[in-house]
Amino acid sequence: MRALNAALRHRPTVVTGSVLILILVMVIGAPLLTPYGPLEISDQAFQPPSRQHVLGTDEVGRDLFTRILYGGRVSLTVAFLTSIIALLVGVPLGILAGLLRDVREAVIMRIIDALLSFPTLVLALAVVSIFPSNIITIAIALSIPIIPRFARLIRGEVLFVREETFVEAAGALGASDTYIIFRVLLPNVAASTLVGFSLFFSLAILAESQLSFLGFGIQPPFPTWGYMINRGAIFLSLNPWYAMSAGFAIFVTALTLNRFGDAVRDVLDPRAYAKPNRRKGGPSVPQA
Amino acid sequence: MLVYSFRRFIQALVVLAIVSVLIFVLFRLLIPGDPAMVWLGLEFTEEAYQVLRAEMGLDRPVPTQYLVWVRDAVRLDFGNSAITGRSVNTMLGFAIPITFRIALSAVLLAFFISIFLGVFSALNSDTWFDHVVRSISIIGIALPIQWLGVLFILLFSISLRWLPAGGYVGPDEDFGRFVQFSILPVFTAMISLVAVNVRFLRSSFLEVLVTDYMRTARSKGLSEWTVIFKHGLRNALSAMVTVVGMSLATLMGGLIIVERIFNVPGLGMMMVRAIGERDYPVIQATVLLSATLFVVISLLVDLSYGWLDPRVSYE
Repeated sequence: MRALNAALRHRPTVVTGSVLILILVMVIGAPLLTPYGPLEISDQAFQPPSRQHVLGTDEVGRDLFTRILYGGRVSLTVAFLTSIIALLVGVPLGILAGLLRDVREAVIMRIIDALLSFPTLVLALAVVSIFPSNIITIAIALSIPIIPRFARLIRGEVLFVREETFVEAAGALGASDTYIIFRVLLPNVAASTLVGFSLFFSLAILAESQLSFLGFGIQPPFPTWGYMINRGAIFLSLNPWYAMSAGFAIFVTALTLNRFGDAVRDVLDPRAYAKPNRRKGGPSVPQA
Repeated sequence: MLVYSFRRFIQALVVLAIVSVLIFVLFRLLIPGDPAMVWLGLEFTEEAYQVLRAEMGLDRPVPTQYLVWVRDAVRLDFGNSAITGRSVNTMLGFAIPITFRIALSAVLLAFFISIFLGVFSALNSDTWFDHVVRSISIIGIALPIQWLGVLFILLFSISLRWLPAGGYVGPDEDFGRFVQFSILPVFTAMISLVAVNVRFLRSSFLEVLVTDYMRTARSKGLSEWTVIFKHGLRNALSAMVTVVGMSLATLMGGLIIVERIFNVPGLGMMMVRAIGERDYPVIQATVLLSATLFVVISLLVDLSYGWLDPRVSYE
């Protein structure tokens, strides 16, 4: 509750949060904002922006503004599912890797390293090439590169919190390991989980848009922002708004989520102000 | 140092082993249907099917199949494309130099531009220059690379007509045209790298600026130039190397997109085409290759710390 109050007084959080809500309202309330349907074709192809069609029309006369709004539903749903899967798998992995101090930690870390060594898009493409493409397989495919990144973030946080004086103090006062893990460590990890979720959500939006741009996302005729850039790029000289507006939608959503994550981190973690370089120090050799 | 290098090398081998198991499981065990049939593509004879089945050792137990597969991969024997029948190695030999040239130019350009931007925004922190640089790095992180490419085409090819919108000419055929065709892909790939690099270089340089050795260097009467570039930058660089290493994973993904936008027949296009056609031998080779490359690069990055920063002691 205290955190919520602090967030409401923190201007960057309020601004980015409001923009996020606005995007959500526009995407969910699409039928109220536009008289057209997303699949409704007409004989007016490649119309420039006008009062009837705010962004003009595409190659089969569908209203582009409508397609952007409905495309947001698909893109945001896929990206949200992706980040949820990444959270459900990555966070427990990260906590385990941070808490265990034996060979199990090494095993988890090597698996994480192996997953990290696939270029982000490549593994998703490999999975999509094998399984039938639907919303679930695409979300799983996209979450695979995010899972190791989420796990590493959380592991770093656990390792850091574990060395804190207040954890030591709890131990000295006679708190059990279970108590320390659930009542001391986890609340601290929850903050970075929220921040991570928001940052990885914005990554997932970009990744989904890349996958659909290549034509391996949710299949047409359903609009996705990424696929609209793909089609729009073909007709760039006929209606530049086609590709431009879809790209702008991705950019604004990803940027806002990214900024929101940063703002929330500032609210939840006052230490980030006091000690900006707390994670540095010592030889910066990752994975060693 | 030697012990650390050896341990790190073994670690990379373990990672590679896990990677190879993952790829094997994906492309041998999880493919719906009989891998030999899938491998052959749409049209094949019963004879070819039986030969391939024996060749792939599908009648043998799975662990043996895996070992045979690893042996072939180590010998760089990736078989033939299921669609064109051409050897995968020939295709790789054509595509890899194209992608490599773009990647290398983008990384080098990004490296120097981000050193320039990072150092000067750290030296002038909280001025307009610093604010612009920081905004660029924030914007760059959320910028969809495919959109950036399309913006460039719209501006430089369609409106200004300065550069071709896409295609490829080899450097041996016509070097001038080769450069023309390469500018937009390289710049598109570079900008996303700069955005990430600048952020890290700026903050690590800010840390270096307030250290004691910088004060000592100044009080010795060294010129500002020597202080900043010889004493300061060298210390900030070790952080930079990590970032460049890490950003390569993003770059490889990004290059797939860049090649697709600008119609460059590199490794990324090869992979995208193969996925569209379910050409598994080609997909498998490109996935394995890019993962291996990345493991090798991060190994080199880790080993370079000791060279860049002698204080790093590898226990």
